[in-house]
Order: sequence, then structure tokens, then C-alpha cells
Amino acid sequence: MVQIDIPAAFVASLFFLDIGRKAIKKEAAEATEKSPAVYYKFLFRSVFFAGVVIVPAGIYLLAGWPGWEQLYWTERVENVIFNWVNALIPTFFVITIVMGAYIGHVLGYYLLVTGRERYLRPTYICVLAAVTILVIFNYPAFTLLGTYQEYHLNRGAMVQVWKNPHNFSLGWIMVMIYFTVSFLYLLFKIRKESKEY
Amino acid sequence: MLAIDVPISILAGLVLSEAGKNMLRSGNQQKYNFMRTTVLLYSVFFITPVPFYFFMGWPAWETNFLWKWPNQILDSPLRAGVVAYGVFIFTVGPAYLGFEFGRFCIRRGKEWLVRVGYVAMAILVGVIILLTRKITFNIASTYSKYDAGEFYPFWSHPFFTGWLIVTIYFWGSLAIFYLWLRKRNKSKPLD
Repeated sequence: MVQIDIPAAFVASLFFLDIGRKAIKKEAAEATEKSPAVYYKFLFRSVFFAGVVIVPAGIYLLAGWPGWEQLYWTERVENVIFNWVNALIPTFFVITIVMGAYIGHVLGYYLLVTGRERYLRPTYICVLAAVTILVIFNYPAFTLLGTYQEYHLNRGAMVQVWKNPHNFSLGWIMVMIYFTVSFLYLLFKIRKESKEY
Repeated sequence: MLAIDVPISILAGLVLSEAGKNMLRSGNQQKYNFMRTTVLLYSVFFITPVPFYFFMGWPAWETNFLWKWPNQILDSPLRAGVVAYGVFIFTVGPAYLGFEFGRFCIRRGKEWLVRVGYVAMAILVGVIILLTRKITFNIASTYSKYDAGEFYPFWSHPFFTGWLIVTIYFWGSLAIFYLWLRKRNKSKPLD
């Protein structure tokens, strides 16, 4: 979902920094440059995760199920063909995910190297909580599959997601597996690296 | 158009590697990390959104009228997956490979190969556009309109308006990144 994907990129960046904080603090303390190699190493990971995992997963759902992907907030993403303004909305979605990852990294790194690391974990936990509340408030949008018009005018015409309409649920599960495996791979890689310090 | 997205992405990777040639030549890990992160950021921020925009608004034109399926992405996991990962693979992948090839050449003192590479890519893009000029400059948003012969000129609104915005976005950002990397390329140390 658009409402989850953008903050997810932000949270993932902060989380990776949190896992690797030992290595970052040590290398940052020893470095003479303002942004040492470890800064770019983690920025690369955050942007790579946002670009390779979150962006394609988001595009996949936005291209196939535009209404569901943004919790039926707007009809515009359902009418993108031959409409240069509406076609730009998914484009902004991609840009915003990457921006979220970048801002998350810059903020997280700043908190770590300026002795404010105690704010790092509460920041991403608060963002996660806020996103969860936002999605719950939109119930039952995430349980129904259909169009913007159907959601707002005729919910009886919509199909529940667990009935796997057009293999939507199967595709969604595959996307979630892809996300989880990639996330765990990075998590364990960073943890292993951090233990060496 | 899909046919020119790959050479343009390679061109961008090569151009950026040339802009930061001193940093790549130094063999310094920090400078390499900075350069590859910059190329990745540039690719996902300024290249990927462009074909995705055309895929959304003018799917048949974007895929050179080769297939009918881009018009029916809705409710199709396979097609949506192909678009999502295809756009990413055909933009970020070639840009990153272009950058790594540029780095390889620069570290071996063969900078001229990088220049040859991006000039060749520019020529290739020109040749593709020339060969496909009929479908490039005659727009049909969907395959059915293409089949029915319902075309309108490249220069007409709304296609041209959107095309102009994303073209300025892409080439403008490439020029800014090139100049910015050139400036950082001269400064010692990198910070």
C-alpha cells in the first residue's frame, strides 16, 4: 500500500542503521571525513532495498490493483492511460519511496553520530505505529478488492481479498515473501558485520 | 520507449563514471562507495520513474507497439509483475553496469573507452529513433488504437507536455549530477 510503502522505506533505513550502529559509530569516530565509507555503504543498502524491493513491490500492486494499493483514496490512479497528470502520480510514488529511504538514512546517521542514538528506535517505532493506525482506520478498504467507484458506491460488488480474486492474494503473498527474505538477508548481513567490531 | 531505455541508462552510468574519474582511479573505498551510491540514487530517482510514467500513460507507445498485453495490466499478477520488475531491471541494471564498466576502464587507464561507450550509446539511440520514427512520432496510447490507425502527432498535448516534463527531469538531472560529480572529483578530500 502507498500509505505503508513510503514510511516502510524510511523505517527500513533507520532499522538498518540501528542494527549496524556499533560499526557505524566506530568507523565514524575513526574517520577524518564528514561522511566516511560506512556512511555511503549504509546509504547504498537503504537505497538498494528501497529501489530493488519496495519500489517494484509497490509498482506491482499499483499497476495491477491501483484502487486497493492506495486504499481507495483517489480514482485518479485508475485512470492513467492518455492522462499525463494522472500518469505522473505513480511516478511520484516511486520518487517518494526513494526519498523516504534517503531521508531515513540521513536522519538516522545524524542521530547516531551526534550522540542522539536514543531517539533512533523510538522514531521508527512511532512511524510504524502511526502507519498501522492509519491503515486500521481505513478498514475495510484493505480487505476488499475492486475499484474506487465500487468501494465508495457499491461495496457489494467487491470481492474479499481472502477469496483470491484474479490470483491477487497469491501474488501478494509472493511479494511479501520477497520482501521478508530480502529484509532478513540484509538484517543478518549487517548483524554479522557489526559483530566483527 | 523501451527500445531506447536500455542504451540511455548505460549512457547515464558511463557519463557519471567519467564525471567522477579521479575518485574511481584512486581506488579509495570511501570514494568508490560514494560513487556507486550516487549512481544507484540517480538511477532509482531519475531513470526508473521515466519509463514507468510512459508505461502508465502510453503503454503501447512505450513498448513500441510490440505487444497487446501492456494495455491489460489490471487484475493480472503476471503482467503487473513483468512491468514492475521489468522497468526496474531495464533501467537501474544497465545504468549500474555502465558505471562499473566505466570504472573498469578508468582504473586501467582507458578513459577513452568510456567516451567511446557513451557516444556509441547516443548514436545507437539516434539510430533506433530514426528506424522507428513512424511509431515514435505518431502516438497511439493503446494497442487497439494503434490497430485502428488512431494516431496523433508527437507534438500535441497531452503527450508532448508529459514527455517534455520527464525529458527535462531526466536530462536536466543528468547534467546537474555530472557537474556536481565533476566538482567533487576535483576536491580533496571527499567529505
